[in-house]
Amino acid sequence: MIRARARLIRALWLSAGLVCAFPAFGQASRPVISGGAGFIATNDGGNSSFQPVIAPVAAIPLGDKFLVEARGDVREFIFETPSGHDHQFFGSLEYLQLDYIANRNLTITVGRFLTPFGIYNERITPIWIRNLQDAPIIFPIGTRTTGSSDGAMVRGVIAGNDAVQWNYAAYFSASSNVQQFVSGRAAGFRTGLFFPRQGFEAGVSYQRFLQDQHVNATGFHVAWQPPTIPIEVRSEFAHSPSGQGYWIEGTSRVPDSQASLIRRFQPVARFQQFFRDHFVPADFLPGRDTSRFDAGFNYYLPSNVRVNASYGRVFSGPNDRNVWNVAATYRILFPISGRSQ
Amino acid sequence: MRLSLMLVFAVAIVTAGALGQSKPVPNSSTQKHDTSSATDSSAAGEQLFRQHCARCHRPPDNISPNAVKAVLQHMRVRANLRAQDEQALLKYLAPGR
Repeated sequence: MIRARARLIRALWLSAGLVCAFPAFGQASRPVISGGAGFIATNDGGNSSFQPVIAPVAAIPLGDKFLVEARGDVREFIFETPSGHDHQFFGSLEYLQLDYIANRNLTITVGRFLTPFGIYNERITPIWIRNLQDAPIIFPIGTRTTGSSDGAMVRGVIAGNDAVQWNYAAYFSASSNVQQFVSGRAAGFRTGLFFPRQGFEAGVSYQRFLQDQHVNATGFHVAWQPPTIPIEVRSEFAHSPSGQGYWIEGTSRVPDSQASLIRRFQPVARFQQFFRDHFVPADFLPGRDTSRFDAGFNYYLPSNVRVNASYGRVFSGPNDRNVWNVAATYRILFPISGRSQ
Repeated sequence: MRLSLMLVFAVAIVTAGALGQSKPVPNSSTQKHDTSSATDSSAAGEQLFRQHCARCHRPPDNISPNAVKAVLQHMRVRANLRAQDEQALLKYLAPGR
């Protein structure tokens, strides 16, 4: 573990060095450090744990067409033991990619990137974005082994105008057991329709896992932010040989930065179910049919700080339990080179 | 001891937010611009933010003008934005640039 921590620290220093080496590219486009930090306290069925988390994102523009992006996740998992507390360090490099932005229709990405399956993995995982700190039960479907892929991806808009957009992402990932770059050999795509004026989007995802037993994972997602009603609804369904399941999450619309103190309060609720079909080793899914309901709230403080809390009830035969989460998150955002304007 | 440190860390995050200087992102309804075209562009940027970016997150409470361009390139990849969308969002998030 100490060696892993040392490796990760070296990797972060290397990343910082790379960032500082590129200021010449960007008098107009300066590198930034973004991402999130936070502290999560959890009580899962009577077992308490605490996680201080830092998940920095680096975005380094190389002119207008190229962009280097990276995100790490460093956390200490502190948990109760009969004799007190123990802790475990986790560090991961979630993506480190080079993008070539040809135009809206085509972006070519190489390196390590988030696997585009559904909407949760790419868009909702950041600690400062997710409404509920626990990921959906079906999250491992289509994103194993780590949620990241090592290889190449193309993405963009197939056709579109101001009213509708038909988008896509397709990728191939090689198998890797290198620490911090673990990924599975897989290929897949996601495609969807987005109607900006109606705030509606829907799409499908497919992944063919190409190592060990070749298996398929399929998914469907839908999200709706009606322009006239201040609510948001998101949902995903996913199927794999392990089983199938769905989640649906509803919330009031994310308040803007000028909202009143009361309107900065955002209630959230999510219901989800997973139905086990076959036992598949190391699929990170529950061993039996499981349902879960969560309800909570976010409260947005000034300066990009948010507090959230939630209660969840898990229904899983003899494993029925309550899950409580309380978290404070901070959205990091500042330039890392260049003079002020 | 470690638990105490963690609690201090959590309190520090919340306190930093509560005491921080909030400099809201300019809103097209409150921002004064010299020309109507700049106002139009900012309004277009605000609409784009609501339609594309707000699908996942709210606008930042404060953002350095030096950071905006890189953030927008990052989001251009994520949200399939056009180059002109990026310019409109730039006008909305950093009207002084």
